Amino acid sequence: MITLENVTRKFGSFTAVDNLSLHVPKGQVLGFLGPNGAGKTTTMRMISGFLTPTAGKITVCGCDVAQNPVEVKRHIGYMPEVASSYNDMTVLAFLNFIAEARGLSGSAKEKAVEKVVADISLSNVLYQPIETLSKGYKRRVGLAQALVHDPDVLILDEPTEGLDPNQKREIRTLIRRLRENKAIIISTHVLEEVEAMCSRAVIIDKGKIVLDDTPRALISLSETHQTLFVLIPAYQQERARTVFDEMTVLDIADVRQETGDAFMFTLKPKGRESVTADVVEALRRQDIKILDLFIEKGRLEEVFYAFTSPDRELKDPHA
Amino acid sequence: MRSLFVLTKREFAGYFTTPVAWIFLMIFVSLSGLLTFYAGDFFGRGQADLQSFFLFHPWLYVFLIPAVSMRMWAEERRSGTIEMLMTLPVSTGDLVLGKFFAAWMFVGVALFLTLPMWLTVNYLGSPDNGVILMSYLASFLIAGTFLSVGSCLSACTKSQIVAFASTMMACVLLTFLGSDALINALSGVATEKVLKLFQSFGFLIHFLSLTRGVLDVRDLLFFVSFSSVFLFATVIVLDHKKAV
Repeated sequence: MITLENVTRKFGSFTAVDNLSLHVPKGQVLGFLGPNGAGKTTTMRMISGFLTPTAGKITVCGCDVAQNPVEVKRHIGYMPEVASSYNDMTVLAFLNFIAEARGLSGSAKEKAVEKVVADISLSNVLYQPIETLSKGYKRRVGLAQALVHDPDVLILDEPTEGLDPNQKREIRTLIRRLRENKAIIISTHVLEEVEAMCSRAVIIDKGKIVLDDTPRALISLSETHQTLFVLIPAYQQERARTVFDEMTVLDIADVRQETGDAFMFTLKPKGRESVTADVVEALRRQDIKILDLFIEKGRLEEVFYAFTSPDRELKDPHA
Repeated sequence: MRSLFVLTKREFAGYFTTPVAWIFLMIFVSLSGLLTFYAGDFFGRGQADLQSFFLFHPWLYVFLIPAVSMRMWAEERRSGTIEMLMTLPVSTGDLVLGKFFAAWMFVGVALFLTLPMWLTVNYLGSPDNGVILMSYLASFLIAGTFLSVGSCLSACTKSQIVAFASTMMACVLLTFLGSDALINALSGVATEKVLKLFQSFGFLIHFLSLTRGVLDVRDLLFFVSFSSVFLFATVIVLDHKKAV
């Protein structure tokens, strides 16, 4: 549904987006990650037709954005990063205006506005001027204007920014519900959000894609992926240590005394494979009691840092 | 066409949500009346016409039109609403025209509110209503042309103050271009051709010719083409500067 082919955008001598190619099919929710200034907003603005690329080609639903911007904009719902609306209008008047500008009229318009108001829970503030709304409500109005025409493609630039945890949850649920027959691109700094609602995560830095995979696969690149935490009773602590020392597939990263006379072993596998089964098996053979055990799935945050921090060493993601 | 109507409607309604609009209407109506009676010596002239009323319109517009046009694009760019506006399935041309027509209609409302002047002269005597109608048209046209200049300059900046000041300067210049004072001052320095050129671009000349009741297509064409050029320039400026 959305295709970018070798898209570059320059501002003067600064290259914001550098030869970027991307394809987002129907039904996919793409989480767009990257540090501030990585080119996320510029990319989204180019897809939505607000900015024109310096080079390259963007097509949305089969239409070239450069050649047929008005037709492309019909298919897109776009929520800008600064989702400012006309402050002196009421929420209802504003949504009506957007619906009309998007070609809806009469009962179709009324239905569309009614639906979006219900979906985004705006009915409490319908007759309030937008300038009197809280930040969270203003963002929701911004989201509502992107959804009112039920677009095929949704481009949301930090949709949950400034919302409280409950509101964030509502938005996530909404997006999960919407994703069935749309292509959605969401940029965010909240990494757990990517895990919660995206089927694909793309990390960009300095205008280039540095990682592109499912959120789960990205998490598995994390340093702490498959790290095992095992709680052993104090009286068996010495024996457990010997067992772990003898195992060649892992290292003991940390041993710490916990309350209730027990020791927590942090075990790091040497490879990328899980060592849980081996550990459980080895301990059982020695009749060592396992009081508790959990596995670290890894953190997207670590991956994000490893690939975008200024002092990173470039690593091969699949090494 | 439909989207142009939707945009114009919103913009027009938008004027009445700000106090600036009401202040504009008040100032325009009261000032145009005051100037007619005091500076224009309406009664002293002893004639049932509105010449002393229309004579001051260009000068009123020089100050008041920038106040209407300053927020057109500068405010959209400052607040960031331009991003939402320009991702609607509407061409930039429609956006520019929508804002322009709304502003022009708003000035039309201000002109409409001066109708008591017309009623007054009709009560006092029997004026040539054709001339008055033409003068209203002339006044409306010159307002539209100033607005097109204001639209372009408002698109150039994020600051309403800068938009206001630059539009005012431009309007003063355009009004002065054909004035006798300027022509006299330059007559020693410039050649005949340059003076003629200045005169042909002078708004006052075209305005006064219309207010005399002569419908010259050239005057009409002057205002229409002048506005078109500046509206087209607005589109170009917007497409270049919208994201900066």
